[in-house]
Amino acid sequence: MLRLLQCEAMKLRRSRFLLIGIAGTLIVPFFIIIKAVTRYGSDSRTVVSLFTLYDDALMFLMLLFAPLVLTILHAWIVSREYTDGTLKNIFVIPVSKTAFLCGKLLFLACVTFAFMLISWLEILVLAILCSFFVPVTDLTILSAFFFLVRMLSGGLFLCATQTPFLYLTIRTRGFVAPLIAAAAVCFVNVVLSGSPIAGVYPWSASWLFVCRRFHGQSCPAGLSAALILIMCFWGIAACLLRFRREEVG
Amino acid sequence: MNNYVIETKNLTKTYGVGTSVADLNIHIRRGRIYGLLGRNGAGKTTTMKMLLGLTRPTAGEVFLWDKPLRGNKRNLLPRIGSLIEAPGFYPNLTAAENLRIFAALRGVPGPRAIENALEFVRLPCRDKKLFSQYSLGMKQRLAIALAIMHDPELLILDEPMNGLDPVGIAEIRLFLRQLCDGKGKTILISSHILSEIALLADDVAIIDKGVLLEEESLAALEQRSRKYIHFAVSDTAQAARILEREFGETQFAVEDDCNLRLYHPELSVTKIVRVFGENGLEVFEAHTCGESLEDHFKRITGGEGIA
Repeated sequence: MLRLLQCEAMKLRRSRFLLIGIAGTLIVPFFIIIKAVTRYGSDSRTVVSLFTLYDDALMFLMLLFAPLVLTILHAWIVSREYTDGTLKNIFVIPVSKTAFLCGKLLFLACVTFAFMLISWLEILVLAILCSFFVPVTDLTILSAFFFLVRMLSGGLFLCATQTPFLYLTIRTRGFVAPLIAAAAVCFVNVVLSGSPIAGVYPWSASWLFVCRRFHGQSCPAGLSAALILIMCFWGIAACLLRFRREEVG
Repeated sequence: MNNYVIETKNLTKTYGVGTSVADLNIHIRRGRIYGLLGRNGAGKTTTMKMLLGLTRPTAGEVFLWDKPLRGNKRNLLPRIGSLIEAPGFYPNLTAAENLRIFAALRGVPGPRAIENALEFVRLPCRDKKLFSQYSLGMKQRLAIALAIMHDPELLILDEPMNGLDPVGIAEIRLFLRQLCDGKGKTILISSHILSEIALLADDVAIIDKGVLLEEESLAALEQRSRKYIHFAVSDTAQAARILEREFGETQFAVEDDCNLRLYHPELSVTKIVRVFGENGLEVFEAHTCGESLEDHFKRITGGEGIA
């Protein structure tokens, strides 16, 4: 499996898509900081807090930005095997389709965690830089670590909720359909995020879990967790079943 | 136990209502170069994909080294090198980087195998040029390097000369011959170019519309290149009727209104001409000819398409 992961990493060398993805990762934290500093500039009584920064970042990332950017990255990493015509070279190598896809899934999980880790690190760095000019509260190692755990748990939920888009990628052998689906999911996320039924929608529920916002929800947390798990396993099983049937046509 | 490296039994592939390959039975012997010849769309690539397990046959079975491919892929595939259709590589990587990925997946040890493969196809190992910047010929060379990198016993190459310049074609041809004669490798090569197969193959299979029309050694085929009697007459339809009625002959081909070929050179030309004359037919020309290999292929595949 390590060999498969190494190969996946090698494939991304000099990839412009990856650079664009990393640049995309930087956008949310950057604008969160800009927003906080601007608010402080207009009203100096407001407080720039590390908690608020991470909380806002998690909301934008989990509900809107990460599903879209990660879908693009994941779909590209998978669909390029079809578009570059490399599957015919891979399928004649005695690596089973299941092992190959599991390697891919694991690598995509690594990409997701890297995405969240970079976002976490950027907020921390920008908050430290900000603290030279405006007061930033809660800027301690402990609170940074607290949010590192939250960001990584967000990564875990994102991995789980990305599997249907991955299935769409394999099904359509391209990234247009999963991207449209991800955009639709994000739209519903925005609509549902403040509503009491957000817990029944796995993508919104993920955010509720990460930010501990289940109070006031009509859907119990257990049901939300079950829905997320069912969707995750269904996604993985569908991907595996579909990919095992894959032929080079 | 036979000596076949590849054997197919009634191999069939259908897509919807169309049949791509129908009841194909081919037999490829160890240490031979086997040319699969057919027009574009004849079913050559589909056959090769089924031999590699890239496409599941609708019916029939593939045997490699006497073992069914189904259920033995993990043991059999490492012994095969292949090139199917257009070369498929990662465009953002160099030739060596691309090969490194497949070498790692195959478990090919050390960088020497990659260097040797690139050296053979005359691609520089330390070149910084990316695959996306390669010409078609260079891409094809890299695909051949990938096929031979792990020193396989069997090579399955689908139109490997595509995009190569004449010097490159000659080099690859020589190398494939050396692999076969010197190292005892078995090579299956497909092409729609007759001259290419004629220069390289030991055995030839002709496939058309998914059906195997002929499987023969090239030597036998050349020897069997049929002689025929060519007639230029005033009415070929009438000539055909006379041949059937008077001589019980059906081995002929009407080329046009005036020209007819009789594939039975043992018959007396003088006698036939006389019978034609007695039946009111004018005979302008009558002589015995040999059929070239190309004419033979065109005839049995029913037309053009093989260069």
